[in-house]
Amino acid sequence: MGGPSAAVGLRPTQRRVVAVLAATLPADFRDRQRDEWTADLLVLSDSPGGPARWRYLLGAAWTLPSLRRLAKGGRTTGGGLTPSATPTAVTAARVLIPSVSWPLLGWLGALLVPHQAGAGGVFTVVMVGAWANMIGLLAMAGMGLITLMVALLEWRRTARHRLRTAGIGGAVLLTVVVFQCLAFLPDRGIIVAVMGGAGAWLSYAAASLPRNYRIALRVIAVVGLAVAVVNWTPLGAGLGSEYLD
Amino acid sequence: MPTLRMTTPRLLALRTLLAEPERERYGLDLALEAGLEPGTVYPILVAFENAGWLVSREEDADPHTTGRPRRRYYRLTPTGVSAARRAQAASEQRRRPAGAREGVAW
Repeated sequence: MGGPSAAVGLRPTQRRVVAVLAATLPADFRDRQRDEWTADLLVLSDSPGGPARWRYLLGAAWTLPSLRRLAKGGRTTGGGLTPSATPTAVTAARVLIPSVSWPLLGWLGALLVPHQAGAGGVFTVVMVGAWANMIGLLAMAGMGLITLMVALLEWRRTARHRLRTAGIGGAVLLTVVVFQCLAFLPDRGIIVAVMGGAGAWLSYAAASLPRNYRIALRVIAVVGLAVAVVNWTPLGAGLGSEYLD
Repeated sequence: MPTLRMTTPRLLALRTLLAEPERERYGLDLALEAGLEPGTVYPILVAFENAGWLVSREEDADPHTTGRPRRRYYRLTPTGVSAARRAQAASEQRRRPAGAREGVAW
């Protein structure tokens, strides 16, 4: 089995993180993976507390659910391939998930966090998100900006795909500018709910999307619909007018 | 038959493994060569191993001598080599513009 796992050269915090990550894995896989992580960390950086090690651990934690599922899965008779989701579907998911999540989280944040006049930073982002939930055009502006960011960040895609994505982001922003007169007509979450619905459709239409994408799209669709329904009740209208002032 | 979904990181890993199919690599080595985030490579390796595309073995080294735990080395199987080539071909086919795929002259 594995050798000594409490390796010299790792900081105590790093050893503890490795131990916690490994503890979630199946018992017959745990030692093997803990040893692999430890051996990698020891060579990653000359300085024990270096950022390279923490970045490594973050990557390991991020992919831990997949690793756990695969480690439990055991040997399969393989050789076949399922087609991966198209780049368009993946990009659409990457746009829709934050575009719908931000107004919904803003709405929840505005309800839960007491109003603080003059507060900035995170509170401002939350409040703008809450407004975006109530004023669909603002949500669309957010989606346009997020689309442009995704085009920038998807560096592995072809230039053609990225330009097309950026073009769509620009077109959305242009639409917002053209129809800015409608900004004063709050839709109270309908546009965000429609965006969430589009995401739900995508999660079923592009079944080869990664599982976590499909789950996220369906969750935000349900929450978006629920928030829109609440907003159109007298209670929701009252809550909305409180933080829209 | 269980099938393996191809993602960009998996394709990058396969491309690197295919460059030298007989060569054994450990996880960090493969990740750095393939341009993957080092901490994220193990689900890829385990998925390939579960599918029979890779075999792995623990290195024959004394941890007390090397000062670190034993590494695990991975190598493509013959099944893995053919599957990796099919996956690469499918990926190349998807990346080509529709006109080029259909052989349009203009």
